[in-house]
Amino acid sequence: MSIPTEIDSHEIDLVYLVANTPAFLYKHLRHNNSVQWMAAKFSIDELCRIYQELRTPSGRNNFPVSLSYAVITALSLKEYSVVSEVLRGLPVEGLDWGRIFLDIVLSQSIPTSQTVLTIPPRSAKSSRLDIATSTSDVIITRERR
Amino acid sequence: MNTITSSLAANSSAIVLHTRKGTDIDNFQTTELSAYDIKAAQELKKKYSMAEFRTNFIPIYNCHGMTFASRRTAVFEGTEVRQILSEDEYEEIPLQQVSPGDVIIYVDERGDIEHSGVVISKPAPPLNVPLVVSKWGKGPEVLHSAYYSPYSVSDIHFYRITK
Repeated sequence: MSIPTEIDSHEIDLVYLVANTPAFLYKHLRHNNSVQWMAAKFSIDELCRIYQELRTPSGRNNFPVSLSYAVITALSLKEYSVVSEVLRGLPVEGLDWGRIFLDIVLSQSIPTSQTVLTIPPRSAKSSRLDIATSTSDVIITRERR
Repeated sequence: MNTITSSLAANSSAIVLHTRKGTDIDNFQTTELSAYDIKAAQELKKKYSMAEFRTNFIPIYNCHGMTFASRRTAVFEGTEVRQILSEDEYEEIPLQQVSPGDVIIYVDERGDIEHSGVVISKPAPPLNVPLVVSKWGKGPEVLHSAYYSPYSVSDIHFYRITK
């Protein structure tokens, strides 16, 4: 396995080096361009395979520990209802902040609000979509903590 | 030396660490330092060229370990730092009264304590910014302006023990 050029592992290493707390590490990795690229590029299964490879003896020797945290963070950017069980089951032995980092990831990834958009059926007389203007209609939002 | 195996971190141990009132403080000592860490530290020096790096990379303690545990171990949860500030009876000091030896605490936008250090010089004109010594994660101890570091500077506090 080689690191794609889209991943700036030096930037990830830097964040890991200066992190005094796992909360700081997660906060900065979430906004890291390389991590966001990984979350967009790879599926959950692909990220899990990458993670497993990073945690093998060969992976630990050839790749920085910080990349494992980056992959966990990329997973956390996926749909929570789908990825939460995956995250809970991730093996974290050998990661100095493994369990605590996962606890932080899981606690901060839970959606805090969800509402439902109700769209009325298109009027047969109208050639355009009638936009609901009633205040009782709301828009789907999903906020992360 | 009392050492116990930390349940919180792999490849590490913890020491017995208490607040003044006897409350346990979670901590761990790690000796892991990879070639990647060392390379990252070189990048750090280039990025913060106005700071003075006074030590090599010492992974066994972090900023809170330097500030509150005599460089013996790493304290890695902001809640533990708040416990120390409270139970060791630190008092907050306004910037205008800051003097060498005071503790500086960096708080992020979520209210998490992400960094700490020790003031080494008073704020002086024209910028009124104190000089600080702090430990940057697993990296070196650094002498730097209080607002020149990898940490959030939007909410900084100063503390002193007065009794």
